[in-house]
Amino acid sequence: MTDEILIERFLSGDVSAFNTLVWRWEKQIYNFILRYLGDFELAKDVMQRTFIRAYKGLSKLKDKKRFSTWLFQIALNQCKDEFKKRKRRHVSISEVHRDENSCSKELISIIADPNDGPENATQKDSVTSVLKRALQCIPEEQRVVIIMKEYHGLKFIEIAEILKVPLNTIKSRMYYGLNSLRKVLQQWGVDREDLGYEV
Amino acid sequence: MKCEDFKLIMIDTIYDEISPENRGKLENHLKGCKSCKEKFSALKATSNTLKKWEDVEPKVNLTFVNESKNFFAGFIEKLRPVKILYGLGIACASLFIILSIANTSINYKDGDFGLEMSLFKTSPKEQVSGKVTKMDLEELRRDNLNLVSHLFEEYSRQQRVETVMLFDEFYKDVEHKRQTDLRLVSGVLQQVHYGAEQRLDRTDKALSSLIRYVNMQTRPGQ
Repeated sequence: MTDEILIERFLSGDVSAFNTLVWRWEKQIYNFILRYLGDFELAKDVMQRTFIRAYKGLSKLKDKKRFSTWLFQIALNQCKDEFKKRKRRHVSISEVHRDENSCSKELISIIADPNDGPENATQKDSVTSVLKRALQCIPEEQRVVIIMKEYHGLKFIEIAEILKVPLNTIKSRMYYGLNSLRKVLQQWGVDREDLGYEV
Repeated sequence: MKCEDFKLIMIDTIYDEISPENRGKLENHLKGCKSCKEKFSALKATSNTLKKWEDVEPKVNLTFVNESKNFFAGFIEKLRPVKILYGLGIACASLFIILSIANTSINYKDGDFGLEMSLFKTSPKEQVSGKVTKMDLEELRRDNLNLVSHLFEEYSRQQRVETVMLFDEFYKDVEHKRQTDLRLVSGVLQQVHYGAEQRLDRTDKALSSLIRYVNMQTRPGQ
């Protein structure tokens, strides 16, 4: 059953149709938020807020084919709101934002960061931890494009639509984002042995 | 084409959004440009590295349920157009009252007070001239004097009426008490008079008896 049919059913009063949409999209949205904010618990809260916002606003969505794009837009706005909220409170979330200098000081020691608990038990989790932190070290505008493209397989045109910026700007952000990320990983001395991949 | 022009084409190629034409151009360029070839490899490697971060399950049970609307909520929902009309009605009435109060004037003319209310400010029938002459002031003073004397007279008349009524009541009260007292005195006098007559009768009888006794004593032969 397509998203459009489920939306129609939901709008005609069938709440279970919306639950199906949640079930279908929650993993994607959760992982998007997680990669954007870099915090597991926060990602859960923001995901819930995203779906609640979608639940309340779905009747206002004119083009039902744009549901996924619209949902990502909501998730992104919620992430930005959360980011601003934390910034206003002057709460230091190491996972949310790090500047270039602080990132350069992290070095490879983060791979074995004991604060990350059991997540670092395996090499795979170590890679996740490195990438999670590395993504926080690149500019937000590049990070969001990389996440949408690399992990969610959105077309560049769709990303341009979500972010409301020109198509070539998106591609340019992707190019410079990948370069920035490579530099961060190189600064940390991450290599084949650490990631299991050639950088 | 310059190396700079291939940046976006490289990105399109890595993510398979490239046109066959541009793919050919890039392949040709990479054959002859070592720098771009290295950059392209680095981009692909970074993209591959990112793929190592696998998706995780959210472990959140997010379920939406029907909002249960109670009877009154449903009723109010149905009454929404009525509510709007009701609100408009209240707003109009409030505006009417506010305008009426704002344009209320109290005036005095020919010894009578008057109250004027209007929705909109009415232009005065008699335009007041810019300058106030001494004559106007004198006239105003005279009017005020008349008004005060009229009020004073009215007050005095009222006072007089009240005083007369008070005296009248007092007089009636005193008269009533006087009549009551007179009746009491009259009753007492009648009783005294009756008692005195009885005493006189008794005295007469006693004297008569005494005279008879004395007469009997003075007649020795008897």
